[in-house]
Amino acid sequence: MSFGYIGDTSTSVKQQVKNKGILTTQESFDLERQGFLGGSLELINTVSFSSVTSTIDFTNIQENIYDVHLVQLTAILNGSGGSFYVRTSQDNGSSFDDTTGDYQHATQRMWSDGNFYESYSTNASAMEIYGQSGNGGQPTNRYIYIYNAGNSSKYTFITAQSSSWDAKLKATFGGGVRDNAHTVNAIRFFTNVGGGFESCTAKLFGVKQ
Amino acid sequence: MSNLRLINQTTISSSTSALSITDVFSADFDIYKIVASGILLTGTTQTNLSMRLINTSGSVLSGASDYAYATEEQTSYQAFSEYKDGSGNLWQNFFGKDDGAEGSSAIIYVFNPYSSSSYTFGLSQSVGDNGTNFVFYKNIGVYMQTESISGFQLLETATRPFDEGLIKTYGLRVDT
Repeated sequence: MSFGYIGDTSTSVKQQVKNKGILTTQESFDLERQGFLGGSLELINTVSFSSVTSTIDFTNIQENIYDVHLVQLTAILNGSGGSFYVRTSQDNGSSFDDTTGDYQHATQRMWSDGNFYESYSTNASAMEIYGQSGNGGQPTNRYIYIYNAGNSSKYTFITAQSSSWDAKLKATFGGGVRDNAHTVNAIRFFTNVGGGFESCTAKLFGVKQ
Repeated sequence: MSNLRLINQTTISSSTSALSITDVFSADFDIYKIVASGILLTGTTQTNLSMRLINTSGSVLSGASDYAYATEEQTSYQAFSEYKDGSGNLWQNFFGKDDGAEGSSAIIYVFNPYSSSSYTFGLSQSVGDNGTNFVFYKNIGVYMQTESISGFQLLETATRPFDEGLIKTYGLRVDT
């Protein structure tokens, strides 16, 4: 190969060459086959709707391939002042665990009017990740990392950050855990606003290994 | 092409109190992202999982006052706490906390490590468990020496080793 992005593929998989090259079709094919070409965030699924829907579900999350997932989500609530929740499934989305005690969570909430809140629970039926929105028709914007979903002997954790509008800026950072060791193979996001969501674009990525 | 370039992937498969990952930071990138998942202790006592840096000679840097960090600890059972140390020898809880059952995980960003003319900075958010309850950390840190850094170390300092986990190191692409 005359030039490319990968200098040393022998032992350490380390980029040695500045990004100046143009890859031929054959070079691209060779690199992709070796796992070096393509994104390190690999898109698994997109959920998008523009009519009222109660939940945002990801199934077939390929938990057997990825140990870490990333969800990027923007949604407008069909109502106002709604909080935000996460549940996990062990049966690929046929049902989602919702028993009190299934989850723990802890989130710092920050409002632009100067109010800050610490919100937490050891005995929850969902991971509440807060960040009210909907009041004013503006979206809630979030990214959520999910860890260990496919590992049946470890707990599934999440970390989350959000920036939302609910008549004022409301931001959060924190996380939660499904308080039991088992394989998680689907994820649900929902709100406590009765009307659910009026629109959403959410993408699920696997963090490439 | 992606803006994230996978540089190194290391699987923890045997018991150790300190795992060094060397030769991952270089002149090729200014910012690095470390993704750690499922770090599992061999024992059952809650243990901090921290971070040190490694210089280009391969030495783990542990100078008594060379590290500073500030942490917000958010737990699922009590009011949140703040920890800080302006003259430490590591970045505490950058990889979270575990007690042998759950599997601590973290996202860490490292800034300017290879530069020999600027300090090395870190950002981290990590999750784990203290035995019975969920814990989340939001961390910032700085290594207060203008030393060229080429690697990092995951460690615990309480003689309670870990034996599972996966750590991936990415560079954020620089177009020149």
